[in-house]
Amino acid sequence: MPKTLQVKKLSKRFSGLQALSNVNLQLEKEEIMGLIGPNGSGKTTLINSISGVLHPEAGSISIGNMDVTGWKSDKIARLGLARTFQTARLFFSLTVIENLELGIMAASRYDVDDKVDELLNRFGLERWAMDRAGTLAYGLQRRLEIARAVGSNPEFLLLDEPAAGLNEDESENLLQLIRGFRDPAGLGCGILIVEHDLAMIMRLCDRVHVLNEGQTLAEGSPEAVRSNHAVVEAYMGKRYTASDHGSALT
Amino acid sequence: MLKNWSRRRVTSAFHTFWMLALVLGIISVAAAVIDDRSITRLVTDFMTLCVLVIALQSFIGNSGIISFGHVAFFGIGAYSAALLTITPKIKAIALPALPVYIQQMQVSFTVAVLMGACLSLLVAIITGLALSRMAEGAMAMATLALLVMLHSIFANWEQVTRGTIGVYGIPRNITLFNTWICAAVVGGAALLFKASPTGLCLQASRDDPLATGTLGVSVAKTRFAGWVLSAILMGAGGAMWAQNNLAFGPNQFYYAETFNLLSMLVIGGICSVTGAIAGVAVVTLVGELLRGLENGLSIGTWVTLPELPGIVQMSIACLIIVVLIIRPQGMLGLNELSDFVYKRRMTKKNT
Ligand SMILES: Nc1ncnc2c1ncn2[C@@H]1O[C@H](COP(=O)(O)OP(=O)(O)OP(=O)(O)O)[C@@H](O)[C@H]1O
Ligand SMILES: [Mg+2]
Repeated sequence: MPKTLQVKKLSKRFSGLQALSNVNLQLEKEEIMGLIGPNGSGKTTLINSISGVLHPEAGSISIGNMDVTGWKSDKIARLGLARTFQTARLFFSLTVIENLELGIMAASRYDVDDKVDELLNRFGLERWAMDRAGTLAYGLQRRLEIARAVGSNPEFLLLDEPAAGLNEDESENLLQLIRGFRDPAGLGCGILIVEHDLAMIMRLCDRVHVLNEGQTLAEGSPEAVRSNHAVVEAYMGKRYTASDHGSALT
Repeated sequence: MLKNWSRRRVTSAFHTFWMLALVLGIISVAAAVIDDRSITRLVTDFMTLCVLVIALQSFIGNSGIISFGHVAFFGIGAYSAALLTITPKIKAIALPALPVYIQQMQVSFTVAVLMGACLSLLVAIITGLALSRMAEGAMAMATLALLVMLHSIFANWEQVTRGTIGVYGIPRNITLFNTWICAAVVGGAALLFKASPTGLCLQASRDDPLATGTLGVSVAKTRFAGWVLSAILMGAGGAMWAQNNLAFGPNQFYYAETFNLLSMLVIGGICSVTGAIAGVAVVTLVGELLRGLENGLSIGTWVTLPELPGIVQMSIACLIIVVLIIRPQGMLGLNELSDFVYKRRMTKKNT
């Protein structure tokens, strides 16, 4: 039976602020789920909670038949969950190769040097192999962070705004890569992706989960979500004027 | 487990290792050829300091957490070497309260160094279990507490350490050859650790502990490993030091020595084993050059420089400030000796 990542009734408070309340979410393998919502709606908090960086007050998280609620991030990662951060968190004083090695480490079933070469090649990072991560251009840093995350062949991959700050070509490239991760012939990952570019979400995702002020507003196929009025209201209301509703989501 | 070892990094560590061992070897051979007592003493002091600063580097450099407590392991190594190498005759007079089997024991240089390392290891395991679970800042402060704790033990456990009076009569077992071997072995161990998967994880946690955790690495376990390894090396260094210094008291393992070792490391480059050695070399040279000035100097009959006590200390302090301004990461920065050779080769390939 294929594994699933299951989030049940998750709630997280920051002192006075309810960042997440009662969020349910289920991610299958070989599935791409979009996570959208206005700024401050709790998307990053959800990813932090699933990956063990934050510990929620209520609710449960399970991977396959393992209940991982309250586990530390390293233990969850070893179970096959990888993530990236909203702003790249690389090991800036280490080289590209060393960053990639660290991504592979959790899996501990590869020959490190061979696997690093493969990743360098697949992500087109050979030219920078010996450079320190801190000296790379922004787009390359993002690419390296993703390469590091998939190095251990994770079963679930959480991407927090991977396309932020990338130009059009780079975004297109990224989209192809992400599709490749999902492909059963590749990693067969279940992917949760946070993204503000709705056009990209619509093209990429099998399902979309919408958060607003820490609560689930809608979940369903991209088409269903696109035509959901509550979503248009909440998600777009803050960014666009009412007259833009029609075109905003196309 | 061996699967996570990268041939690339082990190879480059090995290159650095043989180059450093060669340089240290040349220094030893040169001193042996010159065969002057004060030069020999200078070189054995230098090698011993190299061991101590490399040991310090292997924790501070890789973890990025400052430790004020390592001099405690230095002391543990020194006292264990003293108790194990002083002749039974002197021990009977100076340390009559020692258990008989320790009183009658007298071991060789190598055994004393190994025992110093083992005792340090024990204390490091006990303290490390607590320390490695702390946040970075708290851990640094706790190492300071460790220094104070061990110092009060050294200063008050009179049956074993003779308290503030200190111990004496340690045989001078050190030679140019065995200090060189120790410095090379300890340097090699530090380089190998840095190249190991655990060492790499520790360096990752230096940059970003949170991200290190999300890659499946237990930061606490990694820090524990670094702590224990560097304590072993420090204990070995302490045992060497005792057999070079012959008599000492508890105040030699306190703030002054902590800052002395830290200053060498900061000048040379915290993140680099090569840097640790370079830092010791620079501070030793500056010290030697200025030592004359400290006692006053007469040039001919006309010019007489006054005594300048403290000039060495002050110059080293100034040196730290200058290095921190010009190269905040120390002289060597993040580089090892092999990086200079290696990098040039890589760039050639690419162009
Ligand atoms: N560590 C924290 N301490 C206190 N408040 C926090 C913390 N992290 C997040 N918050 C708050 O929780 C809310 C949700 O934040 P979160 O970062 O999850 O939003 P987001 O959906 O990722 O937003 P964005 O699109 O801007 O990335 C915000 O109001 C934020 O200010
Ligand atoms: Mg966010």
